[in-house]
Amino acid sequence: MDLLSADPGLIVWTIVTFLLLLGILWKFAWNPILAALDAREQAIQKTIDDAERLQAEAEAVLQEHQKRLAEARAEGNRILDEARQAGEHMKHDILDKARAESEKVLERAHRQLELETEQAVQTIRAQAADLALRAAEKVIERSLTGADHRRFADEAVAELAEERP
Amino acid sequence: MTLQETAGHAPDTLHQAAGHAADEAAHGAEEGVDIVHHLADANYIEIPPFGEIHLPELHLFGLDLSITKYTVYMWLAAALILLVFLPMARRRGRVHHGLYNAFEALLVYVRDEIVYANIGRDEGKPYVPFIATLFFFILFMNLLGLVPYGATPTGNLAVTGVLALFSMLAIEISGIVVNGPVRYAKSLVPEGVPMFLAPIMIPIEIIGHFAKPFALMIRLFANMTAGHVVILSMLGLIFLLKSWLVVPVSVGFALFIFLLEILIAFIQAYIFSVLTAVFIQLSRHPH
Repeated sequence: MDLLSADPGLIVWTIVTFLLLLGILWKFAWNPILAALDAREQAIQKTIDDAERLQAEAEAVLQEHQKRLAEARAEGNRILDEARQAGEHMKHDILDKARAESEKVLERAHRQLELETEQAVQTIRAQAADLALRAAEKVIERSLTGADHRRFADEAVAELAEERP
Repeated sequence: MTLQETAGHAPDTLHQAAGHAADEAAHGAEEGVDIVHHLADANYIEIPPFGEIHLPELHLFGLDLSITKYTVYMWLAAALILLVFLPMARRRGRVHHGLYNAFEALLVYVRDEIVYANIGRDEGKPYVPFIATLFFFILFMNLLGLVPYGATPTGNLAVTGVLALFSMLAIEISGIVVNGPVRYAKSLVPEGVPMFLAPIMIPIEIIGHFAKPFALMIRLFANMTAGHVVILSMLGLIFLLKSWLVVPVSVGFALFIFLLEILIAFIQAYIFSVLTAVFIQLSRHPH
């Protein structure tokens, strides 16, 4: 049994031992362990994939929500602006209309006043002419005296005064 | 430590152990530590200071199938491997703890970095059990030489030779199965080589097929033997020089080599299995 010898006994025992070890390990250790390792790796991979997918989904949902929130905020602002503008518009309209109305009313009143004044003046003028005519008639109808003159004139004035309330 | 001259020992070898040396200082030049005796296979296991265990002799079919020191340590390595991995296989589905994680990491390393990295993920799958067995068997045998009373079966040419033989079988069978016998035989003459070179190329390629496993055998044997030789030489200096002053230096160097040997035990197991994987891949795809 030298250092460099290879004894047949040891060779045979090594062959037997290695083959037995290989067989036992293959069937009872490597196959189950490697299968378990694969299963675990797949499970981990699946968990990671799931987590990534869920995160992506969550991010998408978050972005969607943020988009919607921004849209809603913009919409709200727009509605508010529109309402403000409409209100402003309406206020101006109403004011303008009221101003125009008041001017119209004022003008009508003025015109009415002028019309009535003119009518009154014309009425007075017509009556005065009428009276004058009637007085002239009476003067012509009778022979006139000085006293008569006086009296007629007084009568005419009194009549005039009577007719004017 | 008593001396037992057994049948296989060379008669001119002096079996002188450490403790003996101090007692029999008067013998002078005949003293020493017999390194070969320590490293060679034997029919007994020395367990100083309790004595030695004689192993049963067995002769079958005209072969000397006696159980020897290395046979016992080889079985011990195999038993330890089974002790580690059989319970681990039964624990599947559960989370592993402690030492199981370490061995699982080693197994995953063998699978991913040795087999998958060299043969490929899908093609390499059937080879994982073989190469993992090779790796752990070699690793455990390497490490057994580093425990007290231990011996390194991989420091013996019979053991490394058989392991290399199995590597060679795996390499050649892979090549023949994957390529078919005809195409595999044709790979003895690489493509593009003129036919008149075939008489030179064929013998060279055939020698190459045997040189790979032969190198595996010698590499593992030499590495495992060399570390022990160096450690024993360092410690032997103490008895050779017979001075206490040598002790710190010798022990220091021996300790350094010992730590290096732990590293080498792993590296050699790695190299043996990774080269087997590389050769399998080369033989699957000869061109």
